[in-house]
Amino acid sequence: MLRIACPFCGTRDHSEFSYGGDGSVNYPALDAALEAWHDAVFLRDNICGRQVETWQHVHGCRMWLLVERDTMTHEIFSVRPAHAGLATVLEATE
Amino acid sequence: MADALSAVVDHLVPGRSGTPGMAGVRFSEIRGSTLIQFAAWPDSAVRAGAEAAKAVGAKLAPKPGRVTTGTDGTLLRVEPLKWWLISETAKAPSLSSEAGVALDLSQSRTRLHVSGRQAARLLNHVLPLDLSDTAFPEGSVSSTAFHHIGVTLWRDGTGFNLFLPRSFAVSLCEILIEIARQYGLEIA
Repeated sequence: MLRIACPFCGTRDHSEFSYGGDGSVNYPALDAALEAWHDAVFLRDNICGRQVETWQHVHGCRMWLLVERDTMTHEIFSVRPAHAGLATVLEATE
Repeated sequence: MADALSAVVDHLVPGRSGTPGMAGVRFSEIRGSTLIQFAAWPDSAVRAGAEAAKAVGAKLAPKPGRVTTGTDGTLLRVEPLKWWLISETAKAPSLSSEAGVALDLSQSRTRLHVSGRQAARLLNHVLPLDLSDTAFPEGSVSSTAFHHIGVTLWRDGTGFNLFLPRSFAVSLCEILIEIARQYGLEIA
């Protein structure tokens, strides 16, 4: 089972998290061409190795996280809040 | 505020059931306390935390996963930008909109108190948390999942307070009662 070290809650089981998809996608502007949105939404690399993913700690602190994970070994290299403002909040209120 | 009706009054029938001998687990529903949520904006978290601490008569807001008890109540740090104020007094604290939003959640949760020698063991049938005395000591709080339902657990001096979403409380209590019988259950 995957265990993710949530920056707020500590290390928790996979069952508390929800996978949010590829964290490296840069979404186009709202008024961008249909093709740009098609590519951003549907075209994905199928990486064997390290990738950045979004996860939500939906049954914990409900924070969205950026998790750097090896898709082959499941090793997790880093976990940080997806919202930069929340990283600042955690530092200020630790 | 109108008196809250218990969601589990028909299911938490006082009495003794399960394995005979000394009861390993005791359940009681705690009613009458208010639960106010303080939610901050990312740039007002320190200020909202300070106001929440003031509202319960504590000096400092608690750190992540911790609880602070003041003269007027208890403050739980449940999320990066959220605190829960638990109080026996009905007064609702106010919060300026620049600092955040105060919301009365008193009737949204059923508060079940679980105590006894086997309380942690019982909860570990359903919660994926380390509830040992060292990992989850008195004054700890954690949000987690119980049968895919988000619940909040706070350990006080006498046991565990389990905050169950009201509409799921009957179902979750039935599961807990069923498991608790093997340890000897007393419902107060």
